[in-house]
Amino acid sequence: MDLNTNPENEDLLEKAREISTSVLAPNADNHDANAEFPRENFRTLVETGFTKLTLPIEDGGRDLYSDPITYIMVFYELAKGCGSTAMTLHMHNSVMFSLMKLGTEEQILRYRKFAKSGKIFASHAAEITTNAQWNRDISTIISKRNNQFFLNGEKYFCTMAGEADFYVIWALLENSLNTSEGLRFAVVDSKKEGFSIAHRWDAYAMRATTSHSMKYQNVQLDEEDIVGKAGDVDRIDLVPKFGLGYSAIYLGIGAAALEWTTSYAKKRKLKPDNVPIASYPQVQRLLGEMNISHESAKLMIQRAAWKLEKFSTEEAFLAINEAKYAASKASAFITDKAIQVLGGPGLFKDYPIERFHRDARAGLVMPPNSDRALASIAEYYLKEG
Amino acid sequence: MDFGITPANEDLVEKAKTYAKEIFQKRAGKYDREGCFPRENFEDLSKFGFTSLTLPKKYGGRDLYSDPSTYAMVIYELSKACTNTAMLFHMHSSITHVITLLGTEKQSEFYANEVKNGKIFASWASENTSSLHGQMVMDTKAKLTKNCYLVNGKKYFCSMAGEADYYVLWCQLEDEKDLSKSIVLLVSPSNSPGFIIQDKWNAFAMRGTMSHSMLYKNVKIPAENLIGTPGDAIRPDVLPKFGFGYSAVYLGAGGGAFDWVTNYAKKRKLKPDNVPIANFPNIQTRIGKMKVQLESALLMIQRAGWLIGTEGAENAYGAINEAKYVAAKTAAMITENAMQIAGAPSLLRDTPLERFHREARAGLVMPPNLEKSLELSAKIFVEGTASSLMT
Repeated sequence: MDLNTNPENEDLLEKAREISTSVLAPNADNHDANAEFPRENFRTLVETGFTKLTLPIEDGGRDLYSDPITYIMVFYELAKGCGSTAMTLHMHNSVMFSLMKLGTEEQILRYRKFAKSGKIFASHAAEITTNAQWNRDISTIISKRNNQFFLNGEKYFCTMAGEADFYVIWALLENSLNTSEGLRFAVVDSKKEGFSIAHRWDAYAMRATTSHSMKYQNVQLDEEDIVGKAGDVDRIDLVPKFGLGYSAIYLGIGAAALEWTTSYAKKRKLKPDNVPIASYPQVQRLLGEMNISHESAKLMIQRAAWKLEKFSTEEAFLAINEAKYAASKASAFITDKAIQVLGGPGLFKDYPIERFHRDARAGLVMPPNSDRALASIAEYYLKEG
Repeated sequence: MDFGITPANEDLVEKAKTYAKEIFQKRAGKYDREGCFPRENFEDLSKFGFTSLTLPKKYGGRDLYSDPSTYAMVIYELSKACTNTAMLFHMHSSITHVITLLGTEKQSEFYANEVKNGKIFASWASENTSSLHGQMVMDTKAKLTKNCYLVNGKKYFCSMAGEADYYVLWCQLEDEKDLSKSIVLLVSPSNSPGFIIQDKWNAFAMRGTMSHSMLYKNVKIPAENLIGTPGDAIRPDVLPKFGFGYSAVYLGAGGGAFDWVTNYAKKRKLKPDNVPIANFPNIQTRIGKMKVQLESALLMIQRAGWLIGTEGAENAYGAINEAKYVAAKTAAMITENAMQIAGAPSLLRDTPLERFHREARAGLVMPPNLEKSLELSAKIFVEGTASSLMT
């Protein structure tokens, strides 16, 4: 099992680390407090090419979805600085990847051009009453009246709502037989008429993702705005790939808490001992458990990425679910113990620990949520025979 | 990090799986109940060439200690059937590896031949009042008189006491306090006079390991049976390897319980539902959690093995302790959950679950025990150095 990152893409990891510490981390608490989109982070990410990670190499991209191990480690590093930024960038890169896969030649050229000029794409998939993991029952509809297409519906957890330049909306063609046949991606300029924010994102965690609920009322579409054809949703297996990225991001949040807390414990002294609390056995135990939990989960996400690279998404599906479960659980554990290491001050907004804890907590309910992931794993092992 | 079972040694893992399933599984319950040495298993292991796996290739072995990840997987597969056999196999394989690593050409050749003749080697280090890992203290003393060492002392957890053909004694040279200059490994045929079994091993778990306490009363060992030079035994490239294998041994108890109970859940039906209990969400949740932990622990073991192979055991010391911690905890968690899935019938000896549960429980206290492995790995993580912790 070769878990090494591809040497050709090593520079991206270096850069991700640098951006994470010098740009994302210093801004993170502010974005969290104000629940605002990390716009200036994206300026840097556009300038450094991180919004083109999944574009073909000949277009100045890095085709990074073909190197999943580096891909996830890049997002792991970015998430250490700011979970919300890493998440929104992952959405953008994943959706660009799908558009490159599913678009017609003209569409691909057009979206490449937009991406190269720094436009940000958001993906709107989840609906509140349907199973977000599979999107098998979508009630956002593309209809056609007098040679004009219209989009109507409502979506939840619309990351970068009101912020992205384009929305990629998962919708069904009217009167289609089933999701597999009828699912399309409506790619729409976010300034078009008909978009409204139905419910503002004011959440406990991942606050800077601005994942408002959105209403689409008679949004006019041209035929060229509709991407995909019958069967595409089954063909590209997008959802597990999203899931793997989530694992890396949520683990990155835990990793940041571990790093931050370890360095804090080495400096913090209490009276009358006047030695760093890192020398106390109980603090070492906590840090030791956090470290082991982090290492195990990191191996699990790397293994899943390795499987995705070597085998089909279907074959990697189990490992991805295992990775998502392990990663989100590890980070929830690590950030919880981090608060224990700090004691009461762990609750202060002066420190990033409580933000890490909230963001990591979100990982347990975000798709595939822990219970859903467990069920998928168990179903696999308990198949008849 | 590039790890996994090495293709050149893949056959060994496959064989271990086959022997485990077809031969060792059936005998495990008996060894446990009767608390007896798995003699038939060792005869088979010797016949299959498994007792010489860690010998250098020039002596007909497979030099398997140079491929720690595969070595661990062989142990893991054996342990899924019989944790006792896996543990003893690991003890024998480790000490025969150490003998050929530290011994002279002549010694290596002689003992390698003995292994091929079916002889089994035991290795005894533990003392009741001293900690094997961390600050090591040895009360068992060896005194050089003319051409032989005179050994006196008492050892605990002497696996295969009264069963192995050779005992390797860990003791300290008299009149030298510094262990790094005075700890010695002495090989003695088990039929030498002076070995007295003191407390019979009648334990809750690992009952087939026959780990009696042994009294050494003026045991005479020819001077030429000294392996290596004094201090070698606690060299950083020697000692930590033992601990690495334990991880795979104890995780095997979890792996065995997982396989058994998954299979059980697919078949077991309860009235009035009349569908396999595998369909119940509460069962599925447990199975899912068990599986994720099992996979994580396996990766942690392979990572430690990979680090031993690439960076040396000294630099892998943190990872070895992390692996032991995770493996022991995981095995305990899995066997606990497996019993819950099977319900009250899991208490019956008709199922192997209560045995796996007991073996896994032993893993939490066996060296490096849960507390120690966490303490050591935490120290290395926080302070970034292993060297001061090794002896």
